[in-house]
Amino acid sequence: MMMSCKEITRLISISQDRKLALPERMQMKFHTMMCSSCANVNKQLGFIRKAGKDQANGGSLDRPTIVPKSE
Amino acid sequence: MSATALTSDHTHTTQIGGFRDDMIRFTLLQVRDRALAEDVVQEAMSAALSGQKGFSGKATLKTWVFGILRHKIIDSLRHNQREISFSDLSREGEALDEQIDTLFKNNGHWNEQQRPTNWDDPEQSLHQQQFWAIFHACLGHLPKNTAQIFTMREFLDLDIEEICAQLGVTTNNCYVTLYRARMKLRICLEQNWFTGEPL
Repeated sequence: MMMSCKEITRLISISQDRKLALPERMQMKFHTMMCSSCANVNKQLGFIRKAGKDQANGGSLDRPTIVPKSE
Repeated sequence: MSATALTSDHTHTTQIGGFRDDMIRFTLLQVRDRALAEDVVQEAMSAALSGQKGFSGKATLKTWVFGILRHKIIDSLRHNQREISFSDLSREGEALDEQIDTLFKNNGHWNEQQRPTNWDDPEQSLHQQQFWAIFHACLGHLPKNTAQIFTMREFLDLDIEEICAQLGVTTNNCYVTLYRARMKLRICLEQNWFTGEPL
């Protein structure tokens, strides 16, 4: 079954919280290859996550270069 | 202890003191009580000052101090966080869904005027003060319980199981809440930052 854009955006969000099952991963991949709007959502949510991490590490505002988080 | 070590400790102490405002701001995004947030930051600063030898220099000093702060916030949430009421969270969800639904047509495809845009070089925004002002304003527009789940996930990097267990929320409800929070944030950032129109 083809998923709608709305369903795909839900899947994009879930992919940030758990590993998607193979069929879910395929759906998301094929859909975002064809649909630039959903691909944009995927990039945007990735950026929001990055912004959160940046804050959680003290922020890059005062730093000229972003220093990778040490594990 | 050698003279160089002393100087470096002293410099670090001054630097750590200078992080206080940023630490308070970050903590307040997650602990919404000012007095509690100040206690948490104080504890993190004391731990950082007394544990400076643990700073390896691999990350920046600030990143290292924020690592300590995140642990203190997690401890504090474990002790002070009450379970979320299901009906409060549902009410928040309904309001957010109303807005998210306007993005899509009845068949679940994008409304033409609402299609997400391609954000131009978003990483560059991370260095701009105005971006963070808008980011924080957008976060501030999230309803309370929704924001709590979002910050536990994105700022504290807790996994879904832990967040659900701690807040007494079902796993599915957690996923749905995070979806709503992220969609609301992307709408807010797109309207107020990436298209450059006023807030």
